[in-house]
Amino acid sequence: MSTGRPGVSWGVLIRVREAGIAAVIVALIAVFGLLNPRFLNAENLGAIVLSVGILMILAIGQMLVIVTRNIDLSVGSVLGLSAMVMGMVGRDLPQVPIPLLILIAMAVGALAGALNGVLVAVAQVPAIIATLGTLAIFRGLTFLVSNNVQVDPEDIDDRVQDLAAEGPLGIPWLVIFAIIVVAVAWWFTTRTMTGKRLYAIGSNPEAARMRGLNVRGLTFLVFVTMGALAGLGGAMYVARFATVNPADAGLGFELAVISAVVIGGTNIFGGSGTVLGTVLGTVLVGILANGLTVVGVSGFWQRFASGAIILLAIVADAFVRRRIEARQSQETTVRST
Amino acid sequence: MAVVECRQVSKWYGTAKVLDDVDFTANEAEIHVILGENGAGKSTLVKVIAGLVSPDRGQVLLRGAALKAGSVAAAQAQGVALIHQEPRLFPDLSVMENIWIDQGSGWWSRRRFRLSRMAGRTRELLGRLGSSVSPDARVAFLSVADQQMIDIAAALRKDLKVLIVDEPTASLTPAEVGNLFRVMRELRDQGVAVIFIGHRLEEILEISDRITVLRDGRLVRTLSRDEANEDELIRLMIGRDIEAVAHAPTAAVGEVLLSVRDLSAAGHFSDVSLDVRRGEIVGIGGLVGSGRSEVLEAIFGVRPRSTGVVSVGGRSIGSLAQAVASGMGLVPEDRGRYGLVLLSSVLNNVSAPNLDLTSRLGIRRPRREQRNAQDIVARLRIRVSSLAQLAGQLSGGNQQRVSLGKWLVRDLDILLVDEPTRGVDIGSKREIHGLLRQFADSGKAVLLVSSDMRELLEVPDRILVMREGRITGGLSIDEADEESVMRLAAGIAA
Repeated sequence: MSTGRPGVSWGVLIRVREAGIAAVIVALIAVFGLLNPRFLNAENLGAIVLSVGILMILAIGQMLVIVTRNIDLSVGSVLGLSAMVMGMVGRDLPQVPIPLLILIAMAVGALAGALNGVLVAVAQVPAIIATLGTLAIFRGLTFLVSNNVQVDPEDIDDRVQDLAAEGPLGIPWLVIFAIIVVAVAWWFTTRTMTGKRLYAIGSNPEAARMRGLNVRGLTFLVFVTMGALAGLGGAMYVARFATVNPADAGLGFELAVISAVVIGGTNIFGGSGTVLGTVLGTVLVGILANGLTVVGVSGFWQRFASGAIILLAIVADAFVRRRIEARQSQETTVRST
Repeated sequence: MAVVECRQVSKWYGTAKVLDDVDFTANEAEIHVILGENGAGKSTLVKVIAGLVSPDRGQVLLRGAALKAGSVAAAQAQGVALIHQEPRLFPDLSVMENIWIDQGSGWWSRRRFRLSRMAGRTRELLGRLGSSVSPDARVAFLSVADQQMIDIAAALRKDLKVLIVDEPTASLTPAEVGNLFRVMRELRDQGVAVIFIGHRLEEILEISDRITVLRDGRLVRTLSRDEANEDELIRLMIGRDIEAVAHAPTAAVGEVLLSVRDLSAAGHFSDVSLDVRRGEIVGIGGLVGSGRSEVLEAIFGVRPRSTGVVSVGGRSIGSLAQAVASGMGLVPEDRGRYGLVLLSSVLNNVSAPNLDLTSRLGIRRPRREQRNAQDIVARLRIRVSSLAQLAGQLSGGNQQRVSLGKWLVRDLDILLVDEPTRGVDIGSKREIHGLLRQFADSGKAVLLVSSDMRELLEVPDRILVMREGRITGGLSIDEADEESVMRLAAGIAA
């Protein structure tokens, strides 16, 4: 490093942000635990882990989408549609093995994601508009394929339900899947060129095109990945809730997913975001939703409070980020003169 | 041997023909300079070679093989790299990531991001450019000069056959320009065809092996360096002779119009005091990053001040609105981002800061706006196809004129101009200098920041020099020369 000027590493910035989220998580656990000790019992913590697991699978996908300066609002509907298809196949064709059921859910999700990808990457429709449209389309499809009949618990194989309860070393498969998704995403974003290119595309799309990066191809890929992950989330939804109702499977999920990603420090305008941040953001959102219920906040106030806390987190985060960036750029300026 | 061969390349933008049957050849192991006025087609020509623009007629041969028109990837596969005027980087990524991001195939690169090896190679590449930026630094935090070096390093990384450099020297310090030229010569000696678009004739005569002059989209002539001299090149470029603006100090310098006392902006500059009188052009020199632009921004009220007073004609100015009301206008350095709305029409760009004059009860009066814009376009000789043309479609020099012209609609008293001729051809340069002089001579004041030494020595009546956020000295135009300015800028005692 004898020749290297000590430049500004953005690692510093990210670490500060992530430590902040972790601190908020600890504070929330303490507050909820004090208000209602039941929050900390094994059964409730298990419930948190399961809901965080499903949320995390989707949030990782959403992070990749947002990093490329896009967004996918249709994730809740994709989850619902793939959960419904998987539930119906399991009900009507009981001989289909469970791994294949999960793959079917993921394939349905990937197909839905491919439609989003074509709209955004090929037809060049802004992602927020394209996926707002498909949000409604996929929800509508869920009603159509199911004939507005829900899949009941007795129609769902016990072994499917066991995915959310049992697994190797006593860890439920649902959690294992979430961990695998996180691990692969971490490897992909930090250790592969393709992963870095997603950041490049979101950071400066015009420069990405001029450097010869395949912007459209990668954008399409990201949407397909998001869809497949939403499909996996759908499979886990079936396992956990053992009911698929076309009207509410995954309804409003996009809000929780996007909140988790943004709280996790992913820049909503693309270009930056980390897997660790997204994991922390997801945990925070999951704990908040569960904790507010457990301490007995009424449903109306729950929505209000979770919205307010999310806004607060983002404002605090933006404030800290600006302070750090200002200081860093100052130092760089002084050094380079 | 010809590495790049353009055969009868033509390109229209709308009805404007920007390239007209251009037959251009660049050989291996030569530095080939392309020269021409604004809108002569230089940038379009190199974009065609780099695959960023597909020609309407004709074709480009790279080492004898036809280039798939308009394919950046195909051009890159042939070893063509284009360094832009403004660096095109990824601000969120590190220096190292910026340099290596397009390694491997365009679609799916399984090649892992080997951090330690890449850091070493990155340091080596930057070292060849004489840059000492850390490979881990985030690009958003770096100066423009550092960013340009990274852009160049990214091109150096690849198996280069053709390096196209589009006027990168405007915002570089002399030492950095020296470095760049050294690297260009090294690459040439290794057999690379280097195509360089420049505006500073001294530079061009120093670096080139051959020079091609374009005018109005046509290739006027390609000549070797031995055949070329400044007068001849200027004549070829503009097709007429122009005389240099001999520096004639103004007759009457009036009372102090703009007064700045102890102005500071934390982290950028401190304790800046200066006066500009009516009829005067005051230049501010110094190295890139010495805080000159920030001083202009703070005077104009777009950058927060920590301390200090700015007054115009004795009245203190605290905000942007007050600055504009007092007759001040700022023409910023980065015209694409702050000086213009590139995706909006010339008409709207000229109208934008003047809506208070052209509207009644909040409703725009198009005819009045049109009259103003037409007047400005004529006065500044801006080349536009119509007032509805988008500002982003204009060449650099014409964009700069619009950026300046939008203020001339108002009856301004003070113009703050930051690098007004950066990336502008020599003909426009002279005209912009003439406009500034004319403005000052009509009893108004100009504060001019410039990195162009000639401009700084020719245009102003006196010069202030800044170094590391402070004014280190003032020079009258008679005592100022390149050496005295550089001494103050670099902090070397006389």
